[in-house]
Amino acid sequence: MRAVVPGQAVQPGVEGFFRQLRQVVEQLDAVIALCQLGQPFAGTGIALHSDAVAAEGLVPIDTGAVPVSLLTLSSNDIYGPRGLGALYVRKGIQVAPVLLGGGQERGLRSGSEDLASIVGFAAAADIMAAGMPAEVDRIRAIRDRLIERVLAEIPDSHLNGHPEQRAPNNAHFRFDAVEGEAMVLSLRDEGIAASTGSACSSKTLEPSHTLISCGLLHEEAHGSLEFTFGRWSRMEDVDRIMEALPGVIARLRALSPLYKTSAPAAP
Amino acid sequence: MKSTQYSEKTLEHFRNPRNVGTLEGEDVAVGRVGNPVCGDMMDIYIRVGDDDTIRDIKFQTFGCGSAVATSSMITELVRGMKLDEALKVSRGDVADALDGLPPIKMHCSNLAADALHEAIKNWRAGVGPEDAKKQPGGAACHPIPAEVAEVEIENLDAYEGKGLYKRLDDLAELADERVVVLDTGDAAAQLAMDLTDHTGRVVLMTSGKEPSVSPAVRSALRLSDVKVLAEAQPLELLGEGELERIRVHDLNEDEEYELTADAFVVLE
Repeated sequence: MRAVVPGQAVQPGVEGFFRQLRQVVEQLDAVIALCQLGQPFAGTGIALHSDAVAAEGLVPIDTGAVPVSLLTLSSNDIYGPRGLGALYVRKGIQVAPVLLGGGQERGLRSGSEDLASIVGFAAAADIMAAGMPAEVDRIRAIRDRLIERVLAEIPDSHLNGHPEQRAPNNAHFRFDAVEGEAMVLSLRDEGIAASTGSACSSKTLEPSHTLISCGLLHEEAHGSLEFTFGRWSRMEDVDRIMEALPGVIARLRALSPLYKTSAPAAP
Repeated sequence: MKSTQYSEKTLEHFRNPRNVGTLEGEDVAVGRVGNPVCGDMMDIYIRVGDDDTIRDIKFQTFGCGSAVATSSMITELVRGMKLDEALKVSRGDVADALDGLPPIKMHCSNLAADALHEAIKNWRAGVGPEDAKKQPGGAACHPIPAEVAEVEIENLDAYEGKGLYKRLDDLAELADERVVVLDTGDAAAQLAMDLTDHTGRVVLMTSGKEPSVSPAVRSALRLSDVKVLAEAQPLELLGEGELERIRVHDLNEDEEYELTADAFVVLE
């Protein structure tokens, strides 16, 4: 999400606020009431841009109800061809081109269109729109099952983010006294792909700013582990994760000088 | 994911770490380094014999794959060694023994040698295990690697008056030139911003993630037309007679590249 004030430099504070908000949406997939968020900007000349790639296919996006001026979507997030995106532009909003040249895409982005992929994107959107409500319920049930089992079966495990108001495909945990990259590596050996907000897995060696912004301590962000589910996920996948995960956590805790059967020692 | 491009040997030590655990007794010392806030912390326990050799060694580590693997490897490397020999085992030796570590991991998750040295120091100073573990770990999470901080720029003086500026009295002298200003603090950043009145191509180069400037200057810099080039370490000035290019080490990707420049400003 980004606030753009035409002809005027964006205030660092405002920009910073929106940068954080965008990341919360992207990473924790918290479902934010854009309708409420957009209201204060009505009539101010500030254009609200929402990057909706984390929401598409999971949450209905109605540009009639959501007061955004600009909205970005991607093709691969709804199982369409890779390398495509779409920009929704509300009538009356003017956008400066990013490329100049042949004037394709109404002059906004010059360069020959990849027609076959565009057709593929549209087809993927049709398939997603037709099946979405049932599909979202199915994915949510898998996700809820994982959350329930992890919190019940793994000691000193915690759910990051809101228990209910979150994107239906996302389960984001943290485990005391265990580092995230070590968990991801161990799960990879078990054939399970997960991700982490730990600094150790990022190129910048900084923990996820989203998790820090959400109030997690650095040492807690280092112990975060995220699973996302999609069209090819099955309920059996939860069983497979739970065959592997408790052992991974126990093994890493046995290595850790911080784990004393309860919370980690204060730094 | 770059960080998981570990050698097979590193992965093998991560999967099957050697000598995990703790030691107890009068003949035991501990070295603790790192900090959970930074994502890495390790304890190395040594049992020292009468002949000043490491008779037993164990570790406990909280951290990523390379933190675990380096801890495991160092326990194998130094078991049976005299303390003086063990003090010579460096971070580089540990990384080499693991067939190398990803560049980004070399300085953050390669603390095992430091922990071992700390344990030996504590042994010699008579610091008991409990006191050793009370000592704070490293204060800074990711210190700038010493090798980088000490890098000298090759050919720097050869270009004095030929594109290298140690002071700049008349900014108009650089009108429309491609100018690179080395980040040496607020004055350099201010100069870079002032230069944007004369040329549209001003780069402020810093080896850090952000320029080392005060918050006020940082805000001003964000709104200015100065392009900040972060995690870039200048290595060498190049060009026939006059400065044409700067060879730069990209510290994030651990790659080198050449940046075209007409002027390089290093304020004294």
